[in-house]
Amino acid sequence: MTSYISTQSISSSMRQSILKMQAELAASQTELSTGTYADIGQTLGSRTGDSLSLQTQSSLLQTITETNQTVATRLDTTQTILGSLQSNAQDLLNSLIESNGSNSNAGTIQASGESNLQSLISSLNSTLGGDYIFSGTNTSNQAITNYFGPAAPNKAAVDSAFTAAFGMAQTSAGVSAISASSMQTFLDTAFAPLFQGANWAAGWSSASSQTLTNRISESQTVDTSVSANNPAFQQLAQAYTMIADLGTQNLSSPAYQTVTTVARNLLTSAISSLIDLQAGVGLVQSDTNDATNQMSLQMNILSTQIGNLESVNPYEITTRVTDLQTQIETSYSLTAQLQQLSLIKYL
Amino acid sequence: MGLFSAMNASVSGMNAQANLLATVSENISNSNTTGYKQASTLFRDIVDQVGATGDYSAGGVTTLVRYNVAEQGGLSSTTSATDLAIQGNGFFLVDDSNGATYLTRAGSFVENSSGNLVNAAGYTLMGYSLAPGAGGVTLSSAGLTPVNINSTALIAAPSTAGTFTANLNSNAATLTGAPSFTNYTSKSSVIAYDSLGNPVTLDTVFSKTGANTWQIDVYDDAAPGTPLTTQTLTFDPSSGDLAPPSPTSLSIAVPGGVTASLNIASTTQLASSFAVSQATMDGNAPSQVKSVSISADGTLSYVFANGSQVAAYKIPLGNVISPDSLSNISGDVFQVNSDSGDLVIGVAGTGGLGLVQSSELENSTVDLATQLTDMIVAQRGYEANTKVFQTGSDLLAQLNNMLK
Amino acid sequence: MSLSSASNIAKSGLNTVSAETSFLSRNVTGASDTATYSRKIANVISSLDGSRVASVTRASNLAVFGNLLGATSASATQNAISAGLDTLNQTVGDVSSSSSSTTSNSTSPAALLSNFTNALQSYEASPSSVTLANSAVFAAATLAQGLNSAAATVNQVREQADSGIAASVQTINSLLAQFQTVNAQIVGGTATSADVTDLQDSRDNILSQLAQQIGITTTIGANGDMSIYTDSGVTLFQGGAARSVTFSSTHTYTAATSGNAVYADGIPITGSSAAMPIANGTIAGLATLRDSLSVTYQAQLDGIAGALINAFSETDQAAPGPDLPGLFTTQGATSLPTSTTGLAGQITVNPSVDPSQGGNALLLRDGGISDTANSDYTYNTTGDASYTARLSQLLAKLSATQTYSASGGITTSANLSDYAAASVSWLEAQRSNVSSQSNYQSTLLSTAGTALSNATGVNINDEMSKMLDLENSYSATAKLLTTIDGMFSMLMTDLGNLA
Repeated sequence: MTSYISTQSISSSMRQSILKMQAELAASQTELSTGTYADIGQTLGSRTGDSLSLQTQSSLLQTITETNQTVATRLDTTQTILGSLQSNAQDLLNSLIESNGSNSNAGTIQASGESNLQSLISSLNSTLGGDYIFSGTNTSNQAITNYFGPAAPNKAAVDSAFTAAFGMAQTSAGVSAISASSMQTFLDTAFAPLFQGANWAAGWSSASSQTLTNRISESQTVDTSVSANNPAFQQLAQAYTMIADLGTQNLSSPAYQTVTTVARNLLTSAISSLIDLQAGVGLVQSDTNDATNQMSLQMNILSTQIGNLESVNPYEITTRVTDLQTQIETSYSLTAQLQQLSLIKYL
Repeated sequence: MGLFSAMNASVSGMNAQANLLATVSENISNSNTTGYKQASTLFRDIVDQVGATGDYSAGGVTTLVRYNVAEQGGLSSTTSATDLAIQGNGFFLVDDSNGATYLTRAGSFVENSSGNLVNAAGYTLMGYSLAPGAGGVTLSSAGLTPVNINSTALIAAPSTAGTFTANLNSNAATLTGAPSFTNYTSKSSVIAYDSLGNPVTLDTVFSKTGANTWQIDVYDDAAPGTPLTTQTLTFDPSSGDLAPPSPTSLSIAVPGGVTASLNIASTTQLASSFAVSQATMDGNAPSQVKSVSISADGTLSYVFANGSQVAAYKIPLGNVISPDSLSNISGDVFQVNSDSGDLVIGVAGTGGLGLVQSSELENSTVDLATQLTDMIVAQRGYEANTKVFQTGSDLLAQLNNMLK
Repeated sequence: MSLSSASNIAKSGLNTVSAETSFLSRNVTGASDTATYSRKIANVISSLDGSRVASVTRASNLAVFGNLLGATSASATQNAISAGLDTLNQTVGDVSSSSSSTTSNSTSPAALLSNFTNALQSYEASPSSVTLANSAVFAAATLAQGLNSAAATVNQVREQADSGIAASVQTINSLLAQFQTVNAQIVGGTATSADVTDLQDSRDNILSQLAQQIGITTTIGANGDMSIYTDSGVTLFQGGAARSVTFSSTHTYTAATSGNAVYADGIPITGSSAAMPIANGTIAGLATLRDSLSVTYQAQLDGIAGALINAFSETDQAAPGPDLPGLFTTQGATSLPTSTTGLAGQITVNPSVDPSQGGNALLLRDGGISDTANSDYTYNTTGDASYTARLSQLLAKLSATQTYSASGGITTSANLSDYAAASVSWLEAQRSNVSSQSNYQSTLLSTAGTALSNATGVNINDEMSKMLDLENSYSATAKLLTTIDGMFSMLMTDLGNLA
């Protein structure tokens, strides 16, 4: 068997392998600098979609984590406000208990009732990023109408109910003549309905009873706001209004006694409701926190998986680059030597 | 009279040597003449008179010039296809301008203005025309005609025969619907020529109609209305070869041409994709003679521009019983005479005749070295004869002086 | 045997050596010729009258050359597909994770869909935010534009493939015309025993170029007459005449356009209806790209667009009216599309919700995008600023399983995000396959080329050593002539002196 090799194939085989190695070297250098495959799509082939799905999932989790910040801020604000409302109510309750029906310091109590009502109104009208957080889904409107504002409908309703019952205004000196029993009747039949149902919506609240809901993880959706229409706030408003604006300073002792007793009951019930609300909000806060932590772990796993799919081992690449360089250098010197190896040199 | 006879004999000797020198001179001058046959001078003694004892008359010598016609000259190659040489016995038959036939081995033929092949001496090469309607190879001087390779004429040949060999895919699905020009399993085409030399594309359409059964239709591509022929082919499932009663050739009436026979005997049906391994059809489009080729048996073929070849002439060789006795005529041609025997005409390579070699010429048989040595010999012989004559003349002079 | 014939023989020897040297120098100059130069061999015969070059042949190996033609065609197929897929890959862009945080730079519909989902998610968390509403609508518009431009790229690939086929057909016809000339010269030359080896080389060269365009097989008949058939058996050249290859080009492609088939010898050789479809060559690759791969990818994009339009459609809240296209629609649409064909190229964001077209982005939250004048399609009837029910519903629909046309070649039932990812997977899998095929075929091609070069090429060292032989032979013959000349002059002068 005689072997025959053409001059063309001697030189072209070397040329082709050098070209191939140079292309590989360029790709390896790209991989070394980016840490991922030079052409991820081509390398992964049908698994490219997996990588994309993982990336999509990861970025969705990232988005939810970010929106959870907003949710957490709202919940924190809500919690703080609920806390201060509760402590205000507790203070007033304490004062009422201390005075024990005596109208000796009725003026002080009336003042603190008035200030508590103002504080309730402003607290429930708190905004966060321009949204009224106690307005339910109707976040563009104030939750509660300001009782002390000009031509306030809630104040007007109270005034007209009082006048209808007793034939005089609250500020009239004649209120001292109101008996305890008629006061009790007024409070039960005319006054209390003002803070419930349609009257509450017409006079006091613009809030939607529908609270905000948010997705705090891929699968978990929670209520993330408290509506001003909650009975706790209605009771608070009722108790504060009673003390602040039923002419308590001038009432006879038995009538005053009646008012404070009803107010005390209302406050006790409202405080207990507020504590329930706080507990509910606290639960959601902790859920959100848990979900965020959970997602953070999940994202770590996802990014590891993505890395497994598309990252290259830098040590392996470095070795390959070195190998390729050596090979190319060898090819160059071999080419030069083969050029020397010609019969023409000896003729 | 011995003395005079001696002088006469030396004069005849001088003449003979002069003849020898003359042939040497002719040979040397023709040492590069194609087809030249070396002349040789043969000496023959003449006995004058055998008289009584003591009385002797010298005879003398006479010469005979003979051409060694039968000697084979060396061949040297040339680049012209119409340069012909004969390797072996025989002569080309050539005519002079008067139509007289001669023999020659000087084959440096070229085309003259009328397309005839003439050699350097102007003799026209004769052969038998193979054109349809011509007399054919009669091997007698009657049918000989000048070999003409006039290359200006256009010649077309209609297709008469062809071969189509293909493999039909045995795994092809059976065709749905009736086979037609547009509904088929596999299709190929072959170029044929009509009588005027127009190419006609014949579409060969194969349709699988059942297991081991195919239908072949041949359509004229220009008018694919109805097939020119339709045949059913069945294949032997054990070998894949065409099985009886399948036809082994198709008879196709080429539109505008003659009926051609297309050989399909080697068609196979094997588990491989449709592939044509041979598709040929003879005939050619109108084409000029591009060149000629001459084979060893003396067949001259026209080669057309498209590569097809058509045998046009048969160049015969002539021979006689005694070639050396042929009469030599100027122009390296020989004439048959009574000594040489009658002319016999045959085909090159048969009956002891040699082969015709194209692109070769036969060299002169003269060997210069021999001629030069012969010349010296003639010179010395002449010298010797003059010496004898001079001696005789001296003796006569002494005789004359003695009388004074 | 005589001195004169010795001289003649020596002369023929000189001629032969000269002729052989001329072939040798042809070989040496052809050694580095990258075209298909084959080694020329002078066949010398000797006789009583000396030696002469009887014929010229060239080194050839039909089997290896056949392999080379096959490898050339196969490699050209893969290259054509590969180039087209690389263009299609532009619709995917960079898929690496480094480029995708919450907003990806990637241009793939999958990544744009992910961006849009994230924007919608952010908006759902703060539904009263006009900024987030705008950015969600903007992400939707980007997604729609991404699908538009992907569909345009697919059409562009198909247009390029179509014009590539047209160019290829033109090349084939011109090569066949050249082939006809060269083949006729070879047949004529062979008949007259002329030197046709260079013509044979140029014929092989034409065949190599032809094999680039279309897969071919050849047969050789009498006188070196060659016939060419496609790899499916359709006649391209036979009986000294080229068959015409025809193709009618389509210049503009839409999703509904299907290109014309290529015909050879009147037989369709590409397309699904072809009885004898070719397997290899640039034309085969381009036809696959134009008629199969692009169409499938287009169907996938259309599937994504159709699913988007359906997911965001609005339901009549009051009466049982028809569902209407919402956020995503097509130009002037008044009802949901019945067929997905071409949707990817037409999908757009409804102007009534697009702030850049004077629309109100908050409609995304409230509904009523389809018809701002018809309040039946409004979901947020109370006008609450933080109404989330519709947004939650949209997000749920986005991740809900939908059905897709089987012509997409991938799953027919998946959620949008998975379907978009599967589409990318499909494309990349094709690229990956074609790339490895392409590497494999070019290795085969290079091996076949080397094998052919070794079988028929020139080795300069070999030729040089042959040259030394010829040089020796020439000087020996010249010496012979000098000797004969010396003998003649001896005859002329020395014998002459005797006289």
